[in-house]
Amino acid sequence: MTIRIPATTRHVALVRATATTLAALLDFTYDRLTDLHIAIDEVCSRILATSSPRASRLEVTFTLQEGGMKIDARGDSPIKSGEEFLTTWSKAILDSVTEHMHVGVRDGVSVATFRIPRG
Amino acid sequence: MTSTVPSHERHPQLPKPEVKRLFQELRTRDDPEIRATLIESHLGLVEYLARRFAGRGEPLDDLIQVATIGLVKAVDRFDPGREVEFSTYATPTIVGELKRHFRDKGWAVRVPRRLQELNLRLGGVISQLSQDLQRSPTVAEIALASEASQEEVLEALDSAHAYSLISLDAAATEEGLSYHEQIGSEDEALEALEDRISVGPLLRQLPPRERHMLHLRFFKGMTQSEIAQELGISQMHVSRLLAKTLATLRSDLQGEEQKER
Repeated sequence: MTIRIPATTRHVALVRATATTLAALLDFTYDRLTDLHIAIDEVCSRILATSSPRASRLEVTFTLQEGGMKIDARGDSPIKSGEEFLTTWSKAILDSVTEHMHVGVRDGVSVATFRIPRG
Repeated sequence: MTSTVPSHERHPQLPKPEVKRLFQELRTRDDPEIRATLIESHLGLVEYLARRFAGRGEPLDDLIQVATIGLVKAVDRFDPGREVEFSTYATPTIVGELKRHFRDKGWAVRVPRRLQELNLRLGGVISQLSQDLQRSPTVAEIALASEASQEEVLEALDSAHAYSLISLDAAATEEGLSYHEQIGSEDEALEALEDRISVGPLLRQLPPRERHMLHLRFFKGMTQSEIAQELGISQMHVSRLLAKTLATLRSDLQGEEQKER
């Protein structure tokens, strides 16, 4: 399932609401639900903060998997290199709350991918 | 009424060395005039930060007043011996004051009473279930135990994050006006804000419990349930505090990054 929203922090709430609903369907634990929120906030805010020129749309794809959920998030504008995209601080947070955190380039645009286990 | 004259023209920023000198003098002799000068010369920063929270149902004038309280607190607490510029030190304090204002006022306005009540109840329910199950409960389990639907539980849990949403919202100045654009790159007020800061100084300004919590969660890898147990507070409280603290840090760090772009 993919949602496309205007690239504003206000609309990140929609991403979080969608993720919450899907996570409930997958029987995520409360701890993991909170981790999911933290990861979405962090990744989306990094995309918004590092897009150059500023992204106008944000695209987030949720893939329901056995035992968890995979999330791909991207803006429609190139972001800086992987290292710059994830500051040491962001990396520490995301490494703690996600599995398989990865920032790669697809169609000239960087994509942040991560997985959150169900419990 | 808010003036249309740009804030940096109404409140000219003092050069950094002069700010430092005045703080040193203020700490030596408690001169109210110096204090007033320092406060007035940073009202541009106050207005800039208050504007980041505008358009969310609170009049800008009220936000400026609230932010000014944060500035006064920062002026009174700042230690000129620290290796940090005053504007860098003051920003989290001012933003914290604005967020507290939204949290205190926003809750009653935005969240229906039934959700507030359910949210309060959920804290106990989640703690009890975590204890009984020896793991974090699922939404379905929370709904069953709290005699509410899963949708209601999700709504109530979401309402607890309204505060962090506001914080996140404030972070990116979606209006598209960076501080650079608002006042021009040559302005002295901008110069005062351009210090490159790491997360370190911001972490040091957090209350000890919040700092400890971040350390436990992100550096020691403890789960929220484990942290709740260690600190003797509910898991929901841990979740809320973590979200709030991260949003504050994110907002402050991104504010700094944007000023650099």
